[in-house]
Amino acid sequence: MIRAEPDPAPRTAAALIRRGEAEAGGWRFRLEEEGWHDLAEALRHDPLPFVTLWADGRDVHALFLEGGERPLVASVEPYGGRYLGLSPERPAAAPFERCVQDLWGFSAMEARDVRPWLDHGLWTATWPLSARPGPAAWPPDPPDFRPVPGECMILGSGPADGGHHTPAHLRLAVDGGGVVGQAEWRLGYAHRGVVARLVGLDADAAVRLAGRAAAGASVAHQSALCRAIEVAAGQAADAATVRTRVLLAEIERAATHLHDLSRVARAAGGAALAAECERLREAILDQCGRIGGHRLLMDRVCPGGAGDPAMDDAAVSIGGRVADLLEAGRAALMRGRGWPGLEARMAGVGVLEQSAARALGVGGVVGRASAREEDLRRLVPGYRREWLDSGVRRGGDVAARIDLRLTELGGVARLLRAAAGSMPDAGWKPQAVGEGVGFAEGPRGAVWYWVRMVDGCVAAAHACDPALAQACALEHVLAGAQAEDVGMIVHSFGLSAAGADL
Amino acid sequence: MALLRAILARGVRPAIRLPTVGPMAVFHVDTGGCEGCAMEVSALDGAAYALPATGLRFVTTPRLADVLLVTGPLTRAMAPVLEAAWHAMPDPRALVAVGACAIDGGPFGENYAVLGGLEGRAPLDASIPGCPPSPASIVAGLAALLGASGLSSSA
Repeated sequence: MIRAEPDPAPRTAAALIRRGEAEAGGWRFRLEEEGWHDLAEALRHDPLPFVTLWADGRDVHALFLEGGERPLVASVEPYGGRYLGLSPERPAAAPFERCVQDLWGFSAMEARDVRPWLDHGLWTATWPLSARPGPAAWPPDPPDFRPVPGECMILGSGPADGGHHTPAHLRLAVDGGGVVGQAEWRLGYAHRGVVARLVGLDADAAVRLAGRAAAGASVAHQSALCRAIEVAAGQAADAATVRTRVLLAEIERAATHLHDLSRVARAAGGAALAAECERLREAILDQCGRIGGHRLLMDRVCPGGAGDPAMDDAAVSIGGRVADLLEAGRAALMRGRGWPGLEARMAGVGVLEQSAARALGVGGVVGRASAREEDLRRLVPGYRREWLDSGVRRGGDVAARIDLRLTELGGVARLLRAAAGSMPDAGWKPQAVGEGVGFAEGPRGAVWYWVRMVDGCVAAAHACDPALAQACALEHVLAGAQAEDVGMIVHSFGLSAAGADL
Repeated sequence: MALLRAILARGVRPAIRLPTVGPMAVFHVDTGGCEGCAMEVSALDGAAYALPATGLRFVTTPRLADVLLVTGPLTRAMAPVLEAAWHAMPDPRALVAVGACAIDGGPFGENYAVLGGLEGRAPLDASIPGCPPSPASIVAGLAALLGASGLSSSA
């Protein structure tokens, strides 16, 4: 592209975004089509971390995390329903581009993959969220799977396979030796239209709904949306509320880690470890059920400055009891883990390399087990850096993911004690700009929300759960694995299709 | 969805009595919820409740099942799957909805992607309310199917 005055120095991607027109509080910028093309070009060389991509009916937005700590959003208005896709430079953007295509009808040019992702052709309309939805075609097109390497047998499982998880279909191409040649997900069975349902709700109702986006990360979803709403309204949570959110998030982390551990251990044949995890999880959820009767901590986080003092006291006392339970159960967990056969079953299986984890945007436990130092808790208000010492693993295999979860359980117990005894600073009050980005580190990875509030109600929103990136990473990891290890590898990611489909 | 109603309902089924001898075989289908109810059902399948030997057994195919246990709101993509599972089951069979979503849609009522709950679409032999219900209340609801007293037959 020829410009009148070429820049003497190559611009960074972040600087290119900032050159756009500021629309919200100095973190969201509108780019013209040309600027968006420059951004895509710059991303080829610039390591600016991509987080998520969404549409709001008029624009397409891409969220980046500048310097690993400042959210930065680039917006572009699709011209004729088309915009330049970012997935050639950022493979992690591919599933988001496909979601935007299915929901809004904006197509990404030069995208890596343009097949439908959520829409199976069974909805009442195509592009249901766009201003002019199209009619649904009947009968629906058969699923468009990737071509399978020759001489492979197709093994499909799901969406109803008797496992206790959200529906998803996994299609494996297995060769004669039982090695998976190619793995592909078909998701969308659990798409409930969370984003469409958020629109029009007031702040409290929106947070209640977000608590039901993915049950394993209910507190994370609630807190992330609360922060987004508070940023939009120029509010800040008071110190006690901030501390309660930290405590609840850590309790949820323990419960979900135990759930995921028991699933992996069962699949790996480690019944003793699984049994210990299930008993410990049940004891923790029983404690949680005593605050308001919600074992999975739904409806426990409220938006706005001041929380409920009774809730704050309850969170401190339950946090203490959960820490006691975790410390008492530690020896039994380690005994279950220590069985040599289990190590032989898991070591070196299902390896996700660091480079793949980075390219596909996988964070959370899975990313940290592949040597990525990804933990948003260092940015979340209420946490102190010295509390977060769980570290990373280099292996990237099933054993590393199990060990990291076990280590983090110990970290949760320490953190619950430290947080209960501290009083964090009240949050910094941002300027009200009507829009906000909020995030939280859920048990399985980073949860992001973007909202635009008008008259106290949600006018547009976006939710991003780590499951989408995990599904893509699993396709990569499963290729080359033994067919009999597939269940164990999938469980070791803690994938929840509920979070991927939303 | 008319198709689903026609096939699942097909007249009024009499209240069923499952055999009280041998474990009750349950096929669990999550029809697209937040996974909360599914996690609570999975707790029943684990060591904390240890039910398999004494009366509740989760099976991985509907062909061996006495009970079709549904969690989550019925999404349009899952309706044909649920239907196929129901038809694969031998008689006598029971349909149980667990959680607010499976009963009436709960927070996920009808929209472009979701049909809603099963209530009014199919005759439920038991519905276990809650968002999500605790494992203890799911056990209690399933125990009612074993039929010493009258069944909670809604719809």
